[in-house]
Amino acid sequence: MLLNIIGRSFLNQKKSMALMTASIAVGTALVASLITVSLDVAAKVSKELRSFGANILVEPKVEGLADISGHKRYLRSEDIAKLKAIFWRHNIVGIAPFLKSDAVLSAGGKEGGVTLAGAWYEKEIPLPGEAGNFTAGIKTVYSWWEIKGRWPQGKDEIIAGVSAATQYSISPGDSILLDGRRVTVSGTLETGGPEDGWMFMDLAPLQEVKGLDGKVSRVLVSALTTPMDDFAYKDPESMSISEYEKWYCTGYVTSIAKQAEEVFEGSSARPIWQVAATEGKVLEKISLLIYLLCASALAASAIGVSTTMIMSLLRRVEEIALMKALGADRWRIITLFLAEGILIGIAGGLFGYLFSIGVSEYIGLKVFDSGLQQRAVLLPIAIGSAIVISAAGTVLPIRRALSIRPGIILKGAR
Amino acid sequence: MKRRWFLYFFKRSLSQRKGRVAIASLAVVLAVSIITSMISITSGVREKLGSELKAYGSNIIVSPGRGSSFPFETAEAIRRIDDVEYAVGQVFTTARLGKESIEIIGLDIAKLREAGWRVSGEWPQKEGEVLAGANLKAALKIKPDEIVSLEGGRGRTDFRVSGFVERGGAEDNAVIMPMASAWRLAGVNGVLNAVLVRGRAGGLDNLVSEIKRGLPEVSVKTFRQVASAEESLLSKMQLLMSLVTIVVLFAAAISVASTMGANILERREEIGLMKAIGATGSGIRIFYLAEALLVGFIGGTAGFILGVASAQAVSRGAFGSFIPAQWYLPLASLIIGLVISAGASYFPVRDVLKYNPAVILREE
Amino acid sequence: MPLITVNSIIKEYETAHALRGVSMEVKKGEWVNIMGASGSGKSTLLNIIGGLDSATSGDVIIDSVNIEKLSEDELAVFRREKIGIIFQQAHLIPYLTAVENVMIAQYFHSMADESEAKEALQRVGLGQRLSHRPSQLSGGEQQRICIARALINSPELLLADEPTGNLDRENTKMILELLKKLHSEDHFTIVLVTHDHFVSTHGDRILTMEDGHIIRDEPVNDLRS
Ligand SMILES: Nc1ncnc2c1ncn2[C@@H]1O[C@H](COP(=O)(O)OP(=O)(O)OP(=O)(O)O)[C@@H](O)[C@H]1O
Ligand SMILES: [Mg+2]
Repeated sequence: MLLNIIGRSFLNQKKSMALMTASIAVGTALVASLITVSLDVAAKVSKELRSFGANILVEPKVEGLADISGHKRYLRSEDIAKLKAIFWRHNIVGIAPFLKSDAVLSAGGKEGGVTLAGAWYEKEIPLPGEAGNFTAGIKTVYSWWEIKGRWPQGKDEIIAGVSAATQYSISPGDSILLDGRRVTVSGTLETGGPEDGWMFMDLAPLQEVKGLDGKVSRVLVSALTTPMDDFAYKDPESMSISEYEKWYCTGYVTSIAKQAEEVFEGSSARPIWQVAATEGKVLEKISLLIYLLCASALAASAIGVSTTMIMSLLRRVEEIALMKALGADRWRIITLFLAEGILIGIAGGLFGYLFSIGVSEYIGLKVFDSGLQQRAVLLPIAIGSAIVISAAGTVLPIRRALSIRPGIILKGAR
Repeated sequence: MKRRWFLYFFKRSLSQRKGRVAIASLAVVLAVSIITSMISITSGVREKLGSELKAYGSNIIVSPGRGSSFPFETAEAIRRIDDVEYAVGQVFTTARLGKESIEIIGLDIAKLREAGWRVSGEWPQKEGEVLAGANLKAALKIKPDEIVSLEGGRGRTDFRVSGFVERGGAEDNAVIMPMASAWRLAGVNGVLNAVLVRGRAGGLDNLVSEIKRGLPEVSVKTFRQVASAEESLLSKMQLLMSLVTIVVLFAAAISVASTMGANILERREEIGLMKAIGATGSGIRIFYLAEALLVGFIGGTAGFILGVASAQAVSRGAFGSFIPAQWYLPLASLIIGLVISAGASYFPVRDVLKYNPAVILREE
Repeated sequence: MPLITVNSIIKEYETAHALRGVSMEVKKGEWVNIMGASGSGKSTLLNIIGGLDSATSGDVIIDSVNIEKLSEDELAVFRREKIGIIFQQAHLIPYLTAVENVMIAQYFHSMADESEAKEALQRVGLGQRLSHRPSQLSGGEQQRICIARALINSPELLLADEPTGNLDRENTKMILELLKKLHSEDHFTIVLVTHDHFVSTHGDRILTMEDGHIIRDEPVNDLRS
């Protein structure tokens, strides 16, 4: 009987029910999509930030003063792949080894010394102990590098930094002599940093030419990290064993650096703090910002839904009074309207959740070029909170209707 | 005269339906306040987040065009340009430590502290105290407060290493000291070898050409890594906020529409009756529009205040500082309040007016 | 030239035929009573004459204007200038007092005039209830506000759907006296729906409806005799 009445009531109040359901659906959609965004924004922005350059630098360990000035110290390039075997291997999104050497450049009638760096531009290397490859090289670390001209192809093409290019009047397409070997400049690079004065060529041929097979002078690593907190800034040396374990197993830039250091023989790995420190701060701010927005949207939409519910039910005060006049007891009336509220909550929550998938997906694609992670957990949460809000919205009007003697209302009092 | 009676009935309708007017106003207040606060945050997010990115360091490097140095005043001149957040002069020199030559960077140490650098040990306090890079620490195997003896152009000077810095850059191999000490060590005075500039993200190209115009002698370079990082991050964040604002706007409008719609649904009989006793459609529309505009006005005003307050609260929470006020915000809030409230009641009224009064009156 | 000419009106609802071809004429200054069983289509006919509802087909010509062809706004003007209507249920604006409920009709017509509105309420015996709201009044009292409201703009045509349905004999008589006075002195044209044979003895003609048709049209005198 109750179900029957509710069904009738829905049909009878199509517009009003539609309004309430729409209001709840939109409120839920807003909140659910904001939650989806806020849960994922840190990960997305963190990925985004990773394209701005490496946050870990691996270099040969400094043993004495002499090691600082010269660059005759090397890491083994066979250790590079091992980075993909450490605990945080999945967080390592970019690896770029460099071999720095001096070379004699002659071009445009001029001759002089330049820094010649061997590098991978984009190289597939097999994953250790697993099937498949991963991509390493400059493009995975400095995705913002813009080459005027094009990236080199084959071992006879090189990139010239702009300062060097200007100094020797080189433009893309030119042919120059490096250490007496003829190579073609496929493009020029401008970073505003020291790289502007360098030349870049493929790593392997340079190793061969210089007799430095299997050697690199530094490796830049780009890793997704957990923002540094106070604990992370503690000196690992002074940590207790359990603290050290916790630190080691958290994806702080320092602990990932530590693990990178363990992988490379005779190395010292350090966070590039300019990047790493900012990243944590920015992430923290952005997440906080979105959380706060989420909270205020939640509050606003909860109240907004309640106002709709109240407004919609106030017009049915008369109906409640009539039921009361016909002998319905409080509980029957409360159950009827609560049940209605719950049904509306379920429908609104469900639509709202579905709607939120579209909205957050769109936001993700638009802003981060990839969809956001949709969480099925949000469905019960969405429906649950929609039910609570819509049931809460029925309380005030029902109380009002129940507290008034039916006679007065039936005569048209509002 | 007609107007007087209009106002009379209008006031009666409001004063006898206070509860409902309050609920409708509440809905509009909330809608406007959340939209206002979103607009306010969206317009401020660039700047706020931009200043968080300060720690990324300088995004423009000014170096001598000819020769190897320029006068100290150059930094001063750059600092005066708009959109320059900071400009720090640096002196580069080398000194011998034992047999090896090492890099010396002279700068204003206080600026490093502001930029959020971390040192292990102490910041230099007194004359003759310096910071050493992490690699030097490893190479020399020294501890804080040890003395290093550096030999520059003017002979040998002893410095106390008060702390160490680890940056993952060239600084790790260098000794960092106050500018005056570096000058003394190098035997020069009042010169700089580079000025590191931080320009407000978004206007870097303009800033570069402005510096070039003012100082034709120098070479100005954008540090692409920082510049492109910031630009892309900030525009992403702004896009994100704008999209969220649109979603919020939409949701808030629906919420108001359903509240006002429910209100009009309740008054169908009244509208049908007015029509039956000879009110014209426009007369009825104006009557309900007036109420909606009043609700919109209350909602717009209160929503503005609440919205700005919550935007400031959010900004304080997230960035620790307030968002500067936008001149257009009060106007925008008011217009949003009026438009969504009027729109939300106009359409349901129009819907009721479509029916014959007999149909509406029979419903009750 | 009759004031009202109704020409083969049909009114269909999705589920029912309320009027199945009704034609009738009412002369200016005539008082016509409509009687008939519940559900026979009386209210529907009255609503269509008053321009509150539109017919599925057929014409309603009032004062040589076919109101079925009027636009919304012209219809509004028609209603407020020509028609006074009393509904079967008392439709009143809940948040306005008795006087204000009358005044709002004046306001839509031309100009609200409080003293005139009070006078109208006094005439229907509500002089003591001027500032009560509808919920504070009895059903009969509410109905009398509707009568006062219908009369306030001196319409040419008064349409009344069971105006005395909620009233006792005393008050019914009072209302009938009032209508009679308006009818004889001011030459109001009255179309009145009623179930009450006492009421139908007043006026000039009685139309009897059954199942959407007018089945009888007879003068009042005949019935009385
Ligand atoms: N909106 C509607 N939809 C369907 N049928 C309707 C609708 N309105 C009225 N009817 C039907 O039209 C017929 C005529 O209704 P109407 O109100 O004119 O009757 P009536 O003669 O005034 O009856 P009463 O004396 O009980 O007031 C009835 O059978 C009624 O059920
Ligand atoms: Mg009827």
